[in-house]
Amino acid sequence: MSWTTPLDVAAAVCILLGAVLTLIAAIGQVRMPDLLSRMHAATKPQVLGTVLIVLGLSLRLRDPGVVGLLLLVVLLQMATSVVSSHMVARASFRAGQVRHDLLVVDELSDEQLHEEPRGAP
Amino acid sequence: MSPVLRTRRDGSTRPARYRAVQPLAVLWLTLVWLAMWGEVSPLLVVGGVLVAVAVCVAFPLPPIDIASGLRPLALARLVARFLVDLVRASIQVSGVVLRRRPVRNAVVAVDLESSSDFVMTLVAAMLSLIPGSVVVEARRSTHTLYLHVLDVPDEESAERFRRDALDLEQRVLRALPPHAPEEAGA
Amino acid sequence: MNVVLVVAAGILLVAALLLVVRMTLGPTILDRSVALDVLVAVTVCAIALYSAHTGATYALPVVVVLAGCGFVSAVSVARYASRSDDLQPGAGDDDRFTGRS
Repeated sequence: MSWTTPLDVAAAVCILLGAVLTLIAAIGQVRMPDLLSRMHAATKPQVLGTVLIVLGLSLRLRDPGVVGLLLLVVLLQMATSVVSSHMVARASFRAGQVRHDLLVVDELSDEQLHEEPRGAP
Repeated sequence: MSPVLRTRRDGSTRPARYRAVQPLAVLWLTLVWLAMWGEVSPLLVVGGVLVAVAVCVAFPLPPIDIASGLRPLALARLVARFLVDLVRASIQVSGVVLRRRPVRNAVVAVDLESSSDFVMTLVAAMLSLIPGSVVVEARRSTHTLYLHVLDVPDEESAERFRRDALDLEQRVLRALPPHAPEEAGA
Repeated sequence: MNVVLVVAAGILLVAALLLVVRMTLGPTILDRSVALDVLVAVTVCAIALYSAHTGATYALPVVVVLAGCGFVSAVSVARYASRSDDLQPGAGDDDRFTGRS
């Protein structure tokens, strides 16, 4: 519980940075105008934030068993956030929830007529 | 989900069968099992292998053939570049979130060169993890990814993003070269 | 170390409150599910902070389970919400930061 080792300092820096990144993700949630840009704010700084906090924790605990577990957390977080962000983005775009006035280029709506069957990957 | 059908030599069909127990999957599941226990002992390893085999038999998945030609150096470069991109783009997105200017976005279509589903999945996953882009739609027939990109002020930067994405695909292809010949025939 | 942990916990608290704001405002169900997804990540971070504070590792399997299953809600909502009526962008979309009014 003291600033004895450089490792503790590194852990503290990682934890603080991770918390700040998570806060930025939350701020983005509130500030961004439409769902898709909100998702950028949501999934991304949040992934790095979780990675940093978990890194800080493993630097703090310094226990090989725990490090394996935390590595698993990071991998799972990365694997699942991809899936959920794609699913939500697709549902939102198909529902026409996109603010077209915010788009500079839109290469999908032009050929949206060509619909693949539902449930296609 | 309907089973994939394969044609026998005499013309009748049978459901596609693949080896359910894949060594890589068993290895991975055993590692997960050991990570959950947090320690390594012979009994745990044996139990982990048993559980992994049971999982593979209960939930069979089609195999991924990546072991064909893994290039460690290119793979290391891919991972390193990915981590750098992750950090850099996180900072960028944080800047976009915090600044006061309105944000402009774009939906960009990226036509992938490779026709392998595995490469497409990998590129899509990495592009999703790198901040500033989300895969909105993936079209398997033409191997096109439609990405929603944050903070694109003009068409030129949309073009730049497309080049970056194709570069990423090139790095993936260099790290995991797919075997070309059997894909056309299958 | 303790000071850092308290500050980080405070930051996480603010983040969680902002997310609750978005969940309350969120014009459609998808917005809410995205906010919930981030809230789960905040919970993961909070448990990690607790573990760093006490040095206790018994809570870490919870982190694994949350990281693995946190996305189930978002995916199932996205899967089934595409047929609901709640998807039309309502008048609640805020125009404050788009440069238009």
